[in-house]
Amino acid sequence: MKPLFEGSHAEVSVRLFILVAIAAVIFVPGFVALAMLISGAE
Amino acid sequence: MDNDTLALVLIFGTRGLAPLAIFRWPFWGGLLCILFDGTDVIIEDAIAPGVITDYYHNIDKAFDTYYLAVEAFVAFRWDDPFARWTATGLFSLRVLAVVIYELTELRGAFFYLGPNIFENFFVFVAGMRTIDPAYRIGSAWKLALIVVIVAAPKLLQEYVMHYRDSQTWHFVKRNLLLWD
Repeated sequence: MKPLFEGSHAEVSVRLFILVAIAAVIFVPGFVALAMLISGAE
Repeated sequence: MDNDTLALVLIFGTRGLAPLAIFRWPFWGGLLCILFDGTDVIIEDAIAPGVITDYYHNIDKAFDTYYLAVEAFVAFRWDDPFARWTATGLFSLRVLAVVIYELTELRGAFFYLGPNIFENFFVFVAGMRTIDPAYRIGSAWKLALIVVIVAAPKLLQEYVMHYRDSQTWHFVKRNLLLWD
């Protein structure tokens, strides 16, 4: 695996953005679903 | 162009064209498809309320299956056997769930049989391969860990959406965006 912080500022920024995007895609819908369950939304 | 036509052009245009980007840019194309999967109801609400409501589930399911099939095609060409065969298996389960749902209208099929874990798995692997084209999962225990991490939030989401039949977008609109 390539070191995350190696390379230019732009390359590192893109890598970090991708990691944040992966986390958002995977976890945000789950958090929303959890909020719906807790609030009892229909 | 009236509002109904404009909404239909926007919905069918974005959802029809975005999957083509997956062939060239798997990760970014996948994100675009997720974005447009979420915005079709927003476009409808904002421009032409009710224009596709009666057919929404069929239209949404057709476009979902279309972009997931493109992702599966791309995943099938990955040279990492852990990633390739896991993606193929998860996509096959999803298609089976869609077919069972279409034949029986049992929404629980999505929850019990084919939750869309494939999409999360694809986004994870495609994203890691965008960061580093040489990325490989490498071992069975790493694969198991990845599947558990990407599956848990999706199972919760599928339970709420398909088993409890709750309207996620309407909840987000009312409670998070305060748009009513």
